[in-house]
Amino acid sequence: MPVLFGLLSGLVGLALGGGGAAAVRALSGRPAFDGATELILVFSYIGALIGWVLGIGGWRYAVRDWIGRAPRPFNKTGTARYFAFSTDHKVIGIQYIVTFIGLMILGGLLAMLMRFELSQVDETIMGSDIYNRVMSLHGIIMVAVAVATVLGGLGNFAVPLMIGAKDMAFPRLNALSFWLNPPVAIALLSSWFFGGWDTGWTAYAPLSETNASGQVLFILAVFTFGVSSILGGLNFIATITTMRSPGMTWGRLPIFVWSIFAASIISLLFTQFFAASLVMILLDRVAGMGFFNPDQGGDPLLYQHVFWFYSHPAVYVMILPGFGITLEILSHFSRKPVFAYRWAVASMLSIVFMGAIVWAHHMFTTGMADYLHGPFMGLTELVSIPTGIIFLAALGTIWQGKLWMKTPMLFALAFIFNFLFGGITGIYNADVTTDIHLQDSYWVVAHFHYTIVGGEIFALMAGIYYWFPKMTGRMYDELLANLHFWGMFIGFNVTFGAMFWLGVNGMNRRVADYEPHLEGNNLFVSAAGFYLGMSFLIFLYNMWISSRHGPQVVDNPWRARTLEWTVSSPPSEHNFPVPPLVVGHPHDYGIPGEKHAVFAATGGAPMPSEQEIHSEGDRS
Amino acid sequence: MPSRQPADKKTDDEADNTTDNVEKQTLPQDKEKTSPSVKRPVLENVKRDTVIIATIWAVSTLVLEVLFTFVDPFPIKAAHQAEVSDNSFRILTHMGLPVITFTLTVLGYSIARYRCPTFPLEDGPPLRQNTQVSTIWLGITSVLCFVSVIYPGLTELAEFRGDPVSDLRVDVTGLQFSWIVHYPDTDKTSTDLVLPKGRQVELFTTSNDVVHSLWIPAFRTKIDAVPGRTNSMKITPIETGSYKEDPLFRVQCAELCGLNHTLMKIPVRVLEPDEFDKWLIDN
Repeated sequence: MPVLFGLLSGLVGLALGGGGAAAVRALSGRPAFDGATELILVFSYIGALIGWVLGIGGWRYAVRDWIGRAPRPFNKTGTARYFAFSTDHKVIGIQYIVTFIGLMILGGLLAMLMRFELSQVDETIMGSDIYNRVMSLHGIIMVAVAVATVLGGLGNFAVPLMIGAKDMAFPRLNALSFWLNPPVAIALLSSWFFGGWDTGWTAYAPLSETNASGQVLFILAVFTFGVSSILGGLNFIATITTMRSPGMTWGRLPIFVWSIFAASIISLLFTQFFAASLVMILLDRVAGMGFFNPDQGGDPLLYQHVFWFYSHPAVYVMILPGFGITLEILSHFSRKPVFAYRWAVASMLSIVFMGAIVWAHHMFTTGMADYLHGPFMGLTELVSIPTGIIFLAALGTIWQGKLWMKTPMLFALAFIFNFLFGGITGIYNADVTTDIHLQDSYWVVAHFHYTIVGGEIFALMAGIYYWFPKMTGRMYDELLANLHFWGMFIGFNVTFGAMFWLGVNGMNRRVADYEPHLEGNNLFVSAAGFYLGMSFLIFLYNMWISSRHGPQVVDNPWRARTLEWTVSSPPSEHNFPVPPLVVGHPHDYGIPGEKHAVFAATGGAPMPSEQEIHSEGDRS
Repeated sequence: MPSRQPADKKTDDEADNTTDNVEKQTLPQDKEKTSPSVKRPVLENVKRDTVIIATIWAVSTLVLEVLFTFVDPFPIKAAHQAEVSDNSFRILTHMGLPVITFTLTVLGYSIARYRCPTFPLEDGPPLRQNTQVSTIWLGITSVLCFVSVIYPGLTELAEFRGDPVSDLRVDVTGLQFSWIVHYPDTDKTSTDLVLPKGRQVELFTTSNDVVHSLWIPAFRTKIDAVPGRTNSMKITPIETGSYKEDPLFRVQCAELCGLNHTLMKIPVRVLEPDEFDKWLIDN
């Protein structure tokens, strides 16, 4: 088993790393272990990570190549592929989806624990310490799920197929991106044995410099996750730029591919800032450097600036692919072109750049200079303009369409509903006078769950149901899927809708207890939250049973136009037996005879020249 | 957009189709057949749908706007800042309601009118874009955005900040996990935050350990207490009250600060000015 081998190799690395650090300390005349827990933790982790990467496939796939020996790929087939280093983007996509859906369920269970505690005033099942740790773990797990599931999962599975490529541009790097994630999960979960960490996923200094050692594992895990994100973003940009099939001009990219491209730019350019801020905390803790310690001339606000410089754009890494999936599915299930396709693309790209200049709206109450409030309010509210264009595209696409109400369509329509409220309530957070009250209250909790869960996770569900037949070759159960949709849609809106009221009425976030007058509403939220949680059981059951016993599907059960539906379900290893020649727009429904792609018969007509392909143009 | 004549629309659509035809030069067998059949479905029912949607939108917007004018969804406003903040909230909601009703009307109407229980054998009309609609949309959203930045955004922010000179200074220090209140005028230290009604107070905050945030929900004000720096905010209480009467009269730590973050709160009392003066002198 490659995974077992990777784990063993990781353990060896751990012993070498940690032992090495202790030995160097001992040799330099210091106590080997006393007072150096965190230092040894860091080196153990680095050793373990290197060992794991080498063991899981780095040695066989890459290092052998570098030292002049032939690489020895695993070449597994069947289910075993998913438990080994695989360079097939479809395998990696499914590995991402399954892993992160598993983590999402774990994060959801943690949320259930929190809602159980909050269902009544006073301590119900856990004290403040455990609550803070559970809340922090829930936060970072869900952030990771939101960043990686759509981009890494659906993006990996669908993008090469949709652009007519054989695979991603850097298949081994792609596999590495995925296999960096298990150490992240292990480090986050094992931090519990080092006291966990209680700073939420934001890890604000100086609290994150004085708390339990679990914080160190948090930093290392998030850093590793960041590396994976950067490599993933790089890979998508390279793939979309260079691997498009002949005739797939930029103007003919399916809208989902554009959204992945936009999100990847953010991943590639901004993740470093989060990593840098965390490394500074690590250096403060382990090496006493004092970046954020005022006694040593450091500044706690500096952390927040650097942190939000990534973490605000990060929400666009989450939501842009959500826009893409939604518009993609609205087009295919309304049987209409994406309305104002170019405007939508321009909006997504402008969101990328506007994301970079709005970070300080998270900091209106921190005491940063007053004259910065106005500019950051204005810039933040500007984001509503490109977001409005996405709504125009969505509504224009369903306008006069033939709406086929299958489950993916239900989720895509629900995206419009939820994200409308998520977006509108965001204005209150951008406006300084209302934000000063609402900041760090349950209003904010409700707002970002509306955008990320109501937006991105609903889009993720739409995408999973949409591509399920392509991934498995089988159809999901429509009745169960409908039940899941209605459970999730109602449960979600009731749970988080009620939280807006809690925030306005003085309930701050990240608390294990609250004022007694809020008890009724909290009990209500908890009950709705459990209902929301249960809807996921239907989803899991449906996925499990349908992937094994669902009815077999044809290549194109949705009769959609994009390229992934032209190949077999599931696709063969190299996707396209005959390379496609793209001759039209992927979303052009309703124009008889209009084709997206043609396939030359094997040994048939020669491929047209580059010039012939482009001369057709694509002026929409 | 709704008042345009169908004849005008036709030219728009023709314009769109001609660009499509340019592309189809390479697929000659379709050229003659498609051009006429493409045009028709675009125009079907557009007028009817537009009128119905506009009506539902206008009526629902009007009803909700009027309702919201008479409903007061906010808890007690015990400071001038609370009035300003709630006023911004109210204006933003008035501006947001038409957007919400418009989106939901188009969404709901489209689902109700155009849903197909089985796979639709016909495609929808090939509406790829309508520059006029997009431009109008961009114009409206931009105007809404810029207006909201100026009012309530910037104007209310100026109002929220208060006068440059305050009547009273109060220093509040956060530490894990409590607040210490100090009145430099009489060098009085307290474990409650006591303020006079009708006077502008400037609160100065700092922290002894980690970042805290001083939130008084009844005043809608919040300022972080950051180690190594002193932040300030101004409050003008306009209602007397105390934590016992309303739990919103409290200083609540709003920034996660560790183990007992939840419990890091102290009561707030607003007194009549003369009572306050007595309290301040009384050590």
